[in-house]
Amino acid sequence: MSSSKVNIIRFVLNDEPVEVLVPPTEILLNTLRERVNVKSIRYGCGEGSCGACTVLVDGKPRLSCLTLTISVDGRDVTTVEGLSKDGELHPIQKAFIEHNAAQCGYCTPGFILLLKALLDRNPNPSRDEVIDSLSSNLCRCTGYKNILEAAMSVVRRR
Amino acid sequence: MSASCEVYAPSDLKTALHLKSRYRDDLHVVAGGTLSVRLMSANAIETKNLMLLERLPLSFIRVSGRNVQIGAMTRLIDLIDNRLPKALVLAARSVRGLSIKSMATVGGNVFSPSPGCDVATALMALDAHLTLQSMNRKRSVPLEKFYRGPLKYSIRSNELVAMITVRNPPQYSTFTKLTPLPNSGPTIASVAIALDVNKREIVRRASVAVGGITTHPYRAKYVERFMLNKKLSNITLDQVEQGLVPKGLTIIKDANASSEYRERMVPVLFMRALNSLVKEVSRR
Ligand SMILES: Cc1cc2nc3c(=O)[nH]c(=O)nc-3n(C[C@@H](O)[C@@H](O)[C@H](O)COP(=O)(O)OP(=O)(O)OC[C@H]3O[C@@H](n4cnc5c(N)ncnc54)[C@H](O)[C@@H]3O)c2cc1C
Ligand code: FES
Ligand code: FES
Repeated sequence: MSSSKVNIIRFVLNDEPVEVLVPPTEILLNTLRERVNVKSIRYGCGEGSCGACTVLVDGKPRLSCLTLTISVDGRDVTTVEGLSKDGELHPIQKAFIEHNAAQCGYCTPGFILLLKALLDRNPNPSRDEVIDSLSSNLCRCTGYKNILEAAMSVVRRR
Repeated sequence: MSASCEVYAPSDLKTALHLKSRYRDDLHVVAGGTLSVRLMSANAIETKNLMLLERLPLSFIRVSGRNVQIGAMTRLIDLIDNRLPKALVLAARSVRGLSIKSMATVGGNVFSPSPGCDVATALMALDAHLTLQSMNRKRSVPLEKFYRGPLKYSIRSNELVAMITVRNPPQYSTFTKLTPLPNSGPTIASVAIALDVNKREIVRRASVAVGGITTHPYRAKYVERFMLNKKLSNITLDQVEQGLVPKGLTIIKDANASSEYRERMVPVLFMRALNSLVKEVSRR
């Protein structure tokens, strides 16, 4: 049988191999925050409504509060720490700084990762597509205007 | 969670069906996880054993002539595909945000109660059939007959939904929903219409599904029968209104809308959907 009981989970986190021992129903949000000490993943609602816990799994956006850790066995997980290369911030991160798109910053990693997933899928989305795609994420500070401006500035530069 | 919870992530359907037949209701199936993991985290279901479906080769869209086969593990984002009937594309597009669209599966959507059943509503208007598979048997069930009551499905404990099929769908279809957010968002009510008309715009085939107001979508059969042999642009709201929400239905309510509001919005959505089809037909 190709199936097996899964206890030890191995995955690649931002290009580094990680091995964790987790109970079967543990969610990735808790594994990353509590066992791997990645604090850029935020707990907002725990039920898929805010996007603060967004990560990329094999490049696709996943809400880590709705993702079982056992399901990322053998996969690539990216958090916002994995975006900068050789000390250089990712263009989306730079755009967020240039456009003051973060205030308290609680939602920021989720927005940046979601935007990366969108642009990897569609390098030239319309403004409406950007709004629609980001609508799964909430920000309680900025009123979204600056986030949208930052996003559109990245689209224009491509 | 049971102390001896076993976890399986089979990569072939045969193994998955073998496990389902061995554990039956003691095996909790996780597709995209947007509903099932939420229920697990809230301790709303007792997790005995787990089977993750995501490694199964059930993520596909096959279009052959006017027939469409969609694997149960196909993500909603992949339904935004111009080869598919428009109602299905619009329903997938209306699901809130890129993350949920990228996680949620079509198979999971047919189980998901309102307000989370937009794609199922479109599929119902398109007369979709589910392929339910067990170790020894494959059977096809019309989606409409799949719902046997709130959260009661016509599926046996040894079966999985393997595929959804839309055969020879009507030429025109659309989906419209009301949400409290300006763009895609949680459903207050939705209507999907699929129809064929002849050259004189006389309706030759019509199906109407209503979603978001009862636990699962339903077909407005009276309206479908009424529309037959009528000129599309002559159909008015007062002719069909009473058949859109038949008496005796239990209408849901939540933080986004009361039952009364949901019920009142169905005729509005029906007319929006109908008018968009009238325009589309007149442009052909
Ligand atoms: C924040 C948020 C917003 C949402 N917005 C929308 C929206 O706008 N529109 C909408 O329609 N929905 C929405 N949803 C609901 C969303 O959960 C469903 O649309 C989704 O399709 C469920 O699919 P899943 O793959 O995640 O299913 P899961 O959660 O994995 O499974 C759901 C149920 O189906 C069963 N199941 C799944 N696949 C199979 C199979 N192949 N065979 C047998 N059993 C199976 C599982 O055992 C489980 O009981 C939203 C959900 C959230 C959390
Ligand atoms: S914490 Fe995951 S979506 Fe809110
Ligand atoms: S910057 Fe504070 S929540 Fe978005």
